[in-house]
Amino acid sequence: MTVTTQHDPPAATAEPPDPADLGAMFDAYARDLLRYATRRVGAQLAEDVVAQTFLVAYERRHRFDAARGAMLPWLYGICSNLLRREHRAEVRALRATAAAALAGTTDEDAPDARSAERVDAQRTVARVAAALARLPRRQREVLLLYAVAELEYAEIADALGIPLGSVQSALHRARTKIRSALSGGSR
Amino acid sequence: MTRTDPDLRAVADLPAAEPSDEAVSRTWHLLNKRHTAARGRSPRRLARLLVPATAALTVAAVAAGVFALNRAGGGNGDFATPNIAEITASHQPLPTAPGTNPALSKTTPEALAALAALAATAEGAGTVTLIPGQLIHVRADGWAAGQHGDDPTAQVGYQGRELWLDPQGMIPVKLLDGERDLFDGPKGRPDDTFERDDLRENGPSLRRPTPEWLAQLPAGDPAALLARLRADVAGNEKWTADHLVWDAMGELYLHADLLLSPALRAGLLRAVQGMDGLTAGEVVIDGVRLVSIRQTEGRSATEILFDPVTGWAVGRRDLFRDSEVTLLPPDPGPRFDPLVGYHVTWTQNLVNSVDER
Repeated sequence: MTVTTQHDPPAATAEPPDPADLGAMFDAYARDLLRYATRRVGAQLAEDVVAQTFLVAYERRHRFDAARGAMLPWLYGICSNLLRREHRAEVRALRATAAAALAGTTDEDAPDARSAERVDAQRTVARVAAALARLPRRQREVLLLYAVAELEYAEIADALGIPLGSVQSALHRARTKIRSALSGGSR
Repeated sequence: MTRTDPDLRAVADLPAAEPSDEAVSRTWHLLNKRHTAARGRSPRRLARLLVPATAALTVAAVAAGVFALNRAGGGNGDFATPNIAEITASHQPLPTAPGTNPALSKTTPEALAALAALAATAEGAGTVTLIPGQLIHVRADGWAAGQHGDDPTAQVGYQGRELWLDPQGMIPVKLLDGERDLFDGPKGRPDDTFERDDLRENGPSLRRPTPEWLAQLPAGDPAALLARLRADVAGNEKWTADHLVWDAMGELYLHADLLLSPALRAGLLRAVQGMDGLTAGEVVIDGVRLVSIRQTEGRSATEILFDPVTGWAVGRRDLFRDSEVTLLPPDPGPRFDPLVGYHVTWTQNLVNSVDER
């Protein structure tokens, strides 16, 4: 016979986990949150933030209402709140990314096409990282939830607790700045 | 990634490390640590339940230590349902990184560390002297799921057993379910001819060990020891050798943990560090913490429970995930969190006859 356990990793097709089941919730979403938080503040701080995210989620499990939205955006919202405390670390990391990418473009006289492509890619990284570092916190948050976490407008609004219109305007402004940076027209 | 606009792709493609299994595992342990601290629980160690003398080096240590877990709750003093209120277990995330055998996950760093610590502890444990003619008496307090027909639910209930084993092959000579002799009556086992013939024809093995066989295992060479154990379970098409080794070790510990020398007990714990599919966690029985080492293959997982104070094996659990069968908690019985299909802890001692305990 086979029997059910509550604490083993759910199958890919399984129902969303019960927020009271910390293990199942972690198994289902930890990697997504770690990927997102790592992108924002680096691997080490990300582990701390994500552990705290699940702890907060578990403590607030009674507030989660599946009828209002999915669990992952709810977790991203908690994670985003926690990441605000790491604002300075995030900006430092973005600036470091930009600097490292720029340093990698010093062989721009490289003769072959592959080297040229690599240099172009590093310039793009430098421009985007620098532009992200300059974005107001809210715009950066909305942009990263949209581009990296791939949440929809309404999910971002729910996650951050802001009106849908604010999400749209913040995203529009952020994307305009990123496009400008990509075209080399912004500092 | 589903967003394809160049600006969004540029943001999403900024360099960042993909979370590794180790990062996921570290995060889980950090979360678990904080969660435990937040609940204000400080697990009592089994050591607190053991009088110092029991750290001395006899079978009595096992009996005293684990009888603390299996203390009777009333009724028949010899074989009452244990009075346990709560059995909880930590979650053990399964890494996605494949092991040496791609059918299994990679053994986690936490499992390796836990096994190393248990091995170091086990080296300091004592030995017993088996006198010819003696039997091993095992008392096992288990909770097992029982299912009837196509019923989508399975009721977990108490399953207590007493077992008397001939150390030559760990062949059971008497099996009690309470006062009922399970080898007696029309459905009982007619005799043990098959086991004895098998031992005589094929010799001792992991599944049918003898004290002499245990004594000649290469306890000091983990790689050679693991190879030896794997060779004993080779030839199964359904399960990996590591899963079968782990399953057989669960049985070996149940029957004969007290016969293992400190060197062999430590050697086994070091040898299995070379296996795939192991994770570590803890099982807490009314505040007494045990180390759980779990081997997972597909939907099936087997845990062996170790006493961190002695490094000795004191229990086993079997789990199945994604099943269509729902477990019902024991009533009466302890509160299980999570509920599992099989959970057992045991005690062992040496006796001179099947009439002794």
